[in-house]
Amino acid sequence: MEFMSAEWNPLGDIFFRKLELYRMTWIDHMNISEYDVAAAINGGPIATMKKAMHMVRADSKQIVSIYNAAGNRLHDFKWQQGGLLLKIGWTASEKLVCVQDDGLVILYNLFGQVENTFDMGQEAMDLKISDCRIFQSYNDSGVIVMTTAYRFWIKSDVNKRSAPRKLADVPALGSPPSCWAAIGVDGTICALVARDDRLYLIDQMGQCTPQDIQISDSDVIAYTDIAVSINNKYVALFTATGMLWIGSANLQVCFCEYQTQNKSRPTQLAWCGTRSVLVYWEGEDLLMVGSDRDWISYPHEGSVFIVSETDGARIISNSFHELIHRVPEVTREIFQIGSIQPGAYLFEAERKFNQQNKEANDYIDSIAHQMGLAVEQCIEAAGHEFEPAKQKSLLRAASFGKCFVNTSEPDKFYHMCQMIRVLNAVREFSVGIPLTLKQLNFITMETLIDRLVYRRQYLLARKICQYLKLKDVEEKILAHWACYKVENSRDPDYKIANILQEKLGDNSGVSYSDIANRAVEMGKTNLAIMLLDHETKAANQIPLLMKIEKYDTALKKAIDSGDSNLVYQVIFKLNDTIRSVGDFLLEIRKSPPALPLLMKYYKEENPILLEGLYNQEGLHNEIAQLKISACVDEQEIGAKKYLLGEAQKMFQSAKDEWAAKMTDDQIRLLERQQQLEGQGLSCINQSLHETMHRLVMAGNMKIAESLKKEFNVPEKRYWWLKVNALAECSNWPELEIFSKSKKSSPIGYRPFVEACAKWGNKAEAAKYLNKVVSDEKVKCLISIGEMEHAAEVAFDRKNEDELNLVLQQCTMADRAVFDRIQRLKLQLRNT
Amino acid sequence: MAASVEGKLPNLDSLKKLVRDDLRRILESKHGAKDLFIDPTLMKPIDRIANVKFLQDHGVEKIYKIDSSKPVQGNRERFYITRPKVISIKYIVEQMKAEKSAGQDRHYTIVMVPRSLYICEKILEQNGVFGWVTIETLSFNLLPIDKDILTIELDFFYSSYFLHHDETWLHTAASALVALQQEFGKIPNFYAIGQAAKSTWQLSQTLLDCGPDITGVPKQIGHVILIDRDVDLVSPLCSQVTYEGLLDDIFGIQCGVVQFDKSVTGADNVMKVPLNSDDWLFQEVRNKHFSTVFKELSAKAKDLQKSYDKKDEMSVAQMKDFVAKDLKSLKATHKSLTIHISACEEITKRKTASGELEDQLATEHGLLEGHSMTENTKYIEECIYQQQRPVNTLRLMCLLSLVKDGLSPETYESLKRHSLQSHGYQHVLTFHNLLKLGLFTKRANPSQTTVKLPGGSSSSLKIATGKLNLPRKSSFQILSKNLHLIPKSGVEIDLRNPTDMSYVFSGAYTPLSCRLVELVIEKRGFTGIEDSVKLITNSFGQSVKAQSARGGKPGGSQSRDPADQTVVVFFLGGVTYSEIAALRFLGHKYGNRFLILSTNIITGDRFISQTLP
Repeated sequence: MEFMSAEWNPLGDIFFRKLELYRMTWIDHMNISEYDVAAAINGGPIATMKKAMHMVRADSKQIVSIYNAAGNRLHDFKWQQGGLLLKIGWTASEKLVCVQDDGLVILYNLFGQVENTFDMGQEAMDLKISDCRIFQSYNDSGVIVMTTAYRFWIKSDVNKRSAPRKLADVPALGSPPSCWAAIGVDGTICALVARDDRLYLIDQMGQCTPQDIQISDSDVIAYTDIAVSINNKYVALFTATGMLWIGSANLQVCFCEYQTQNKSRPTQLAWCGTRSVLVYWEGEDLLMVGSDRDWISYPHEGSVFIVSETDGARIISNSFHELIHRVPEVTREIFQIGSIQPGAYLFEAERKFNQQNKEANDYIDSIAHQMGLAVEQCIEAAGHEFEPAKQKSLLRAASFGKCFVNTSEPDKFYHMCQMIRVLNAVREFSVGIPLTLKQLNFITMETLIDRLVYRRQYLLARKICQYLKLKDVEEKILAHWACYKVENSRDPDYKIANILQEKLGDNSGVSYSDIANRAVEMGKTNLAIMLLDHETKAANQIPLLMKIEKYDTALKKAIDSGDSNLVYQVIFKLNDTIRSVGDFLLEIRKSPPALPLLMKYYKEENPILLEGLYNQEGLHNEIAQLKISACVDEQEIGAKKYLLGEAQKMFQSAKDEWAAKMTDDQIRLLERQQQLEGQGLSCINQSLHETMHRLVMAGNMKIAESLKKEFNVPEKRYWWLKVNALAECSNWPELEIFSKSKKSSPIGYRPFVEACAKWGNKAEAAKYLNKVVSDEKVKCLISIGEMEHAAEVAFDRKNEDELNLVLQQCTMADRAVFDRIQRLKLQLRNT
Repeated sequence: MAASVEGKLPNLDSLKKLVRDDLRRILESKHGAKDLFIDPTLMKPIDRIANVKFLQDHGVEKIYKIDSSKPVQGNRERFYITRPKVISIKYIVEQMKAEKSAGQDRHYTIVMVPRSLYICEKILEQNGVFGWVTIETLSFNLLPIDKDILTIELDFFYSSYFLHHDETWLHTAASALVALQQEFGKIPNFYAIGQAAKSTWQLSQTLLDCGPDITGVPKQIGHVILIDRDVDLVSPLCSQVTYEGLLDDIFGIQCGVVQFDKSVTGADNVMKVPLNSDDWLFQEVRNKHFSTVFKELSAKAKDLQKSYDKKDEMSVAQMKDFVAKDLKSLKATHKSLTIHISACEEITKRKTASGELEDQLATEHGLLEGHSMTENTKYIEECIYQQQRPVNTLRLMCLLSLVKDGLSPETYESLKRHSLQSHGYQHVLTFHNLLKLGLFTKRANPSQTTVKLPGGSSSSLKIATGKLNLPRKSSFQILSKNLHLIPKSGVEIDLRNPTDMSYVFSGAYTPLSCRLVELVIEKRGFTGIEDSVKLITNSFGQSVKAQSARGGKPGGSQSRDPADQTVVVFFLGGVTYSEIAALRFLGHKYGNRFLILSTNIITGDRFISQTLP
């Protein structure tokens, strides 16, 4: 291990190391030289497709195979779109992009299921395309195609619905360009096209800009290959004279020109990180060229395919998957021979300590004041290692160093351990994501988990979430898993429902209705219903139940939820769906609690339907009530009478004799009122009592009497009415006559006193005092304000309650009376 | 003591702040000056949450009531704050249409309180205006009107649920319970009496399950008792005789504020007086029997005079101190005293001058105690003949019917007929409603078919029509006896220093609702009183946490957990100030803290008015 750096290759001031990632499972059947290969960046999956020249028969269908990075086959499928599959590639989100020669683009997931389809426009369709590039753009990924007329069309983002756009034309391009590539410039994607020795940048705004290039060789015949670095900052060009040019993306800065002595077009030209370029010719060693014309030659077996990464490049062959990794700075600081960095000393100290060598102490002493930095270096370096043994030794060193620092942050150590565990887990052979720490930090943990879910590694994804305590993300995974089960399980519905319920439980936070929705889309209606049973939010259940036309269940659930709002939703939906009103009502009647809600709605929106509903339910009395309500609002007499007649009929149907009789009375009263109105007495909308009151006041005793007879008005009421009416119009003589019309008044004489008092004639009131029975005398006296007199009467009657009553009525003004009553009370008590 | 008990109640101010913040969010969602149209029933509640200044600070220029569909000139941004009721939505729709056709270009935002209903959106859609509006919801479920009273301000809850069987507003009631628990922790023990109570509780559980996790919120409330208004229809029908009750009966208290007119203030302008525990003077007399209030106030007046008099003997320094500290509070007390004394005088004048209250009370007490039924019926008849206010006579008629489990067909029909003659035929509708609600019924004649009613699932209906073979005693009388609602005659009740809840009705009757609360709290459920409760309703239930079940009665001094002593009593369909007074009394007696939650606050008149056409 001391000689870890021995395996490093220097390239100028930086180092590269070659790490074996996997021995490929496909070793038995794969011959890379016969295949077009595409691999997604950041340790993504691999897709292969047999090259046309290696097809057994030219007309046989192409087969696309998808593998993980370890060569485990995930899926195969035949290309059956009718055209020739021109190119395969990957998006950043690991969707497989397949481009057919007519511009048809289909996106697949890792399991060969179609995710999205679009075309590259009419020109591509009509003329066919001769070449295309699938590139990583700023959001996800895009496609540029070149038609057989050498015009370029771009779709910047495969996920967006926007139509493809045309790139500017390259002048005088009558034959295929010698090479071309997609390149990001200031946030938009353009194409860099070489027409022999001329370079052009063409963009989506119709601009074609000829590019000047800083190059020493003045007679370049043509540029035959081009590679753009992943960060779009650098470009590598290969010339027909065998020269490799490396420089800035705008071609204005040249880093190096390197003569390879090989004039043939490379099989692959690719960036390795951002500081070096790999050139590969079939059958030769891999050549790595750095920006200072340093070079390294990597021998290998058989053909290879190169995948550029941000911090290196992956080399895929028939038997191996290797990573040419730029040695991270911190790793170099620790392991470079002769390093005097604190991390290097700490690592050494820990080793010596384990050997029980006292030199450990010397090392520690020498970095005592830099121990914090030393620990951090070891922690970080551990993250960059692939082999667990190396990871452990570095972590051990960090842990050892921590003992000497007071202020170490435990978080960093802990966090790195977590990252390492996750990285090791996803690098596992069966998962096959050979991610470096730098790449993980770049794509984020969330994306990694998404990728696992996309690969249907639900268990691992969930375990990572649990390990990292990412509860929300865990729910998302469960939901994906559940949808996957719903889509793919061939088990009977009840079994799927059980499995899901077991895993999700009741409180996982996963929405059952979302899963049920997927079941509906898959046509598994019964499963959807079973799943919806577990949905706690009725508001989510109901729309879906209606979608699958389970209206009765929807209505039942809505009612059970206790939320009328949901019931209304179902009712309205039903109303829209069922044509016949009768059938609709029949359906509603099955759920009794829905009926009042419908009635309420009809009451406010559609009284006619309400009447129909009542009728169907045999609620004649309710119909009568409706008619009466209408009658109250109606002003026109004829209409009023008509409505009352209707009400009366309904009361009869309801066998409510009394109400029918009352209604009959009302109709007759209305008729009488109509007559009276004609005689100038305004009384419509008045009650019988009020009508008679007005008649008495108008001096129309005869008609009042006749009404009394006709409507069976009790004697007592008539007396009350007449007394009050006569007093109100100050018809005192008539009142007196009336008081004497019978031997004794059926209501006594207190009403007379009080009515006179009320209408302001106390003298008149006094006339009736004598006739008032003694029990009521005190109250009468109070009503005409004769407090003192009242008190005397009460005293005479020896009635303390009555005295109190008078007392209560005395205002502050009656101080004398007040005192007198107090005295009387005392007197009464003492006697 | 009062202060210490209330001091430990959960602080309700935070609830106001939540609503205010929500309102701010909504108003700030649109830039620039805006005009605000408010549902008349929400005017007062909104004002209690966010005053005019607040609204102006958030860009509101003019405030209107939603009560017509005429177009109005104004700002580009228009906000409507409304209950999700068809009638208001229709006004809004018509107004928007009128303004559009008048060429006014405007952004409309409809703020539904407390949530949007499908039925309203449907109306917007049918009228083709759905696309013009932004719909927002203001989660305004609870309005604190005092330290121990919360209302939902749904005046129509009783009629809409119990009369029309419309369960729409149960959701609002349940949301109120949820909001309460989100703020003050999960309530471990619940007791429900009545169908609405049970449904509300269940719905609130569902809503809680779907909402954010509240296990971390500190628990401040131990129990909630939900009571349907129709469990106890008698209490709201009785005339109120506590001071606060009378103020409500006579002047009407709206969201904790009373408006005194000229008769009290002596001036031309009306005066708005907040009635709550911040006014210590009012706090002392609010729950008192009216007969003792005047004396209390005179005593306070004398104390006040003494405090003023002290200044005559003060040194300059003392005087300075007096002016700085005491004078202001004395002046406030003075002002409050003046207004309450005037209010008392006015009450006396209106209620007792005619002797009307006296007779009415005598009749009510007679009915409750079950004596002199013939005379009482006669008295009611006379009231009708005298054209007394229909609401008043209806109250007595309902009381008569309730205590007797319905009237004989003869009495029933004759009283109805008299009422129609006095107040008009349209009251056929009233009586129909009263019958459905079980408020005014006739004893079913076995040979006669009963009137068929729609959606006949309510419990009141069962009472109304279900008891065919009655024993001689009515169920009200049995309840009175079993639950000791009517004190033994001859026992004097000290109205000044009461020892029994019945003081709120002059010692004649203990409100059934409050007695049930007392028993449920005492027994931690319905053990031993099932039979009585079954006489009222078949829908009752409880869910009690096992650990608290062994702890004896809550509020006992041995109980250490203050939350356990805090009890929410939730009235579905309204509560009167008399009942609140009785519960406050109960709280003092047992050392419990009651938090009253109600759909609305009612008086007998407002209660009966809901049944009028």
